[in-house]
Amino acid sequence: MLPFSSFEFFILIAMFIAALVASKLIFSQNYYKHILAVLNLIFLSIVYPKPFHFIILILFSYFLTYLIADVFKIKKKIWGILILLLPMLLVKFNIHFDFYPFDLNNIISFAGLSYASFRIMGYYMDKAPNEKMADFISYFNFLSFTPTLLIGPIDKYSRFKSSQDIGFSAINTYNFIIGWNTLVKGIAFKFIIAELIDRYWLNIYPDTSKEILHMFNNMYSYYFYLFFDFAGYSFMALGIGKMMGINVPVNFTNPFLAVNPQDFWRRFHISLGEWLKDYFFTPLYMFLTRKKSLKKFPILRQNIALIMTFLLMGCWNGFKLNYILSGTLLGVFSAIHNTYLIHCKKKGRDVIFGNLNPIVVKIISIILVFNTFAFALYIFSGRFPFLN
Amino acid sequence: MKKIGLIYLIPLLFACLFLFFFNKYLNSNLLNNKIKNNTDSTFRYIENFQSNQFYEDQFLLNNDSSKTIYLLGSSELSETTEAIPYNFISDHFSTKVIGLGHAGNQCFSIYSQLLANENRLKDAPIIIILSPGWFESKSAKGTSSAIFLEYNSEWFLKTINKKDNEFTRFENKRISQLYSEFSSPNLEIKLMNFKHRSTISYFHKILFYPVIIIEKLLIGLKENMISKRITLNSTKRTPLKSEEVQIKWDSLFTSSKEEIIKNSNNNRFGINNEYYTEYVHGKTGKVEPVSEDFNQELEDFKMLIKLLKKKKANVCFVISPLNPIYCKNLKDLKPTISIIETEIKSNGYNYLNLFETDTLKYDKAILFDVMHMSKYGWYKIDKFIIETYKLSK
Repeated sequence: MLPFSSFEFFILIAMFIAALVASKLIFSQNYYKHILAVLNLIFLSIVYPKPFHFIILILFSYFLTYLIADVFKIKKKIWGILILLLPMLLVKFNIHFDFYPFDLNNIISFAGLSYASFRIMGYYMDKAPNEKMADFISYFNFLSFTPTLLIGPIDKYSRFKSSQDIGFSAINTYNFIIGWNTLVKGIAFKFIIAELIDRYWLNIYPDTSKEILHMFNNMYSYYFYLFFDFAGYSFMALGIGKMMGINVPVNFTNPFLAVNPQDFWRRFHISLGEWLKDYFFTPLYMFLTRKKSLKKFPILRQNIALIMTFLLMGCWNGFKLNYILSGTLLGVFSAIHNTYLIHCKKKGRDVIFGNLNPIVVKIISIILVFNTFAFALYIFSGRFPFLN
Repeated sequence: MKKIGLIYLIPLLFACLFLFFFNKYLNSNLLNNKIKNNTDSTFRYIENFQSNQFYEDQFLLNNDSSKTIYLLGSSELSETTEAIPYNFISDHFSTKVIGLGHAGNQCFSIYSQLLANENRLKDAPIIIILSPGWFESKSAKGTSSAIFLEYNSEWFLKTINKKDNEFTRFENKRISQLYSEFSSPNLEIKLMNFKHRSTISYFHKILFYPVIIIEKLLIGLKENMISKRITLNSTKRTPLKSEEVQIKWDSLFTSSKEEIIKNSNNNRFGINNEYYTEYVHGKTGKVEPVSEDFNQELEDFKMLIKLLKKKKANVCFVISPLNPIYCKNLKDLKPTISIIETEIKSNGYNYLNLFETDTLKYDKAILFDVMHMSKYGWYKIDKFIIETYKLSK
């Protein structure tokens, strides 16, 4: 059974929360992580499909991080990244061997692999050269925390650890009510609104239809569906996390009101946006800055880094044309906005809207961002008829 | 407290009032079984059950080979010709043949349909057409979840869930393997999955125990809410005089063979001209055999045979052919077909093996394309069925 897949999951989670509340009465704060590890292990090994896969991945990543960072002290992080991402890359490339009749994916892939890989890489990138390895129990909890196991948000180890350190004291009535409200919001998003969109809106017209109105309908319905489905998951994870004593980062805050691409990524799948910024955009930009040939072109450097970052995001979903194209498109949006911002700064005025009323500018921006992102995500969905 | 009252208690009160007043309306609209109005009572072919109570209730109702014979299979049954058994035999004999299945209706789907109706299996005349394609390439992974649901409604699964034996345990295991593929599994599927998972270890048993209890409770509640299933009786057909039926097989074989050969002269494979031009021209056929260790379909097939044997069904099999001239490496599939053949033989069942890997021995007219029967091929099967069930003197 996958997290949030059915009401039985919520029954199990209620049992887990009850176990944590009871443990709070018996054990001191130091034991919180141990109790949490036992609960996570129970979920992984008994309830989760392919339990050994996840446990092996945790062991694999922990010992390899230790070997790469502490024993061999490999300075070029790229090698460590490639080794740690190997399981995910094997799945994405869909390799086939003669000894096994089906795709290798059947053996190695499992639900949650992508998100776990992001967290693994985040930990490895954040780890300073002489910093001690994380204690295994905290690392295990970080990767296997039940509410975020399947679909994020992508947490950072340091943030998770500090939340875990005060786990028992965070289990209180106040947090429980906040968690409950967030959980109910998530349930409403995922199981009512997204479900209604899926049943009564999403499939009104066939994906193959090239009529403009049908395409608009398919574009908007998918955008709304994606948001309510995904945000629903994130709110449920956040709510349950709160009730279990862990602060899970907020992943969505009204993305439909975003006024520019930068603002959009501060509202939509925030944890992924931050992850990409910290672990890909910034290092890549620094790398490009050091290139002599690009020294004279700061805007070009930024835009290359932006497009490459979103291209990577597209590829992370799979090496398919719709993912790659949508990633590139999102990168281009950001690059255009970036160029526009720099020009405005240089000229000391808004080069497009001039002295137009700020409220009007805001409304136009919201409409523009809403539609361009809806279009990019329409391509992402694989339902855009001209790509099939 | 006032805030909690506003946020939680008042909505809860409204929800309770809503349920109290609209309970019957909701139940009758959401939970009751629906019967398709346009169900044809003289049906010969059922594409799938799709929760059609009429077809489900009729399935295997007459376990008498002089009345109805069931022909189970996959894609080959979708092509309606006058020669297909559910037309040919039903037209010429008092016995009716009902075809059930379309592409993807493989061993586990059939196993589950039969297990749900195991009390009707004794002496039930059933012919299963085994397609070699089920046991190779990706199909060897077994029936897909989507196809499974087309043939195995909640009602069928409920019947299975009421028993506990080696067959239901196998069903639970297979459902558990498919579980992640079901997008919103019904209560019976969930119960089967949890039942299987609770057998893995004591830890599993303890953790899944409350979930299973709740699941059973909900199933009970749902059963009480829905209106009772309407009992439908089998439609009586006017019997023809079977003993007087004389089929001139030689002329049927000759004429149908000639027709096939005439229409497949633009290629050396014996494939129908139009089909060849549209789908085959310029392509090379290849089978991808899957070893016994990884072949789920083979395991499903063995359990299917075991079930039929245990329940004493009057069953026979047809192993359909693949075109060996088109599929260059068809010999590689021979070991798998041999396992199937041995399994059928060792259980004492009658069968017709049309699978041939020798290009010289292969009868080019038997298939319409690369895997589906031609009229000539169907007549061969008709003859086999008529002789097996002694439909004519």
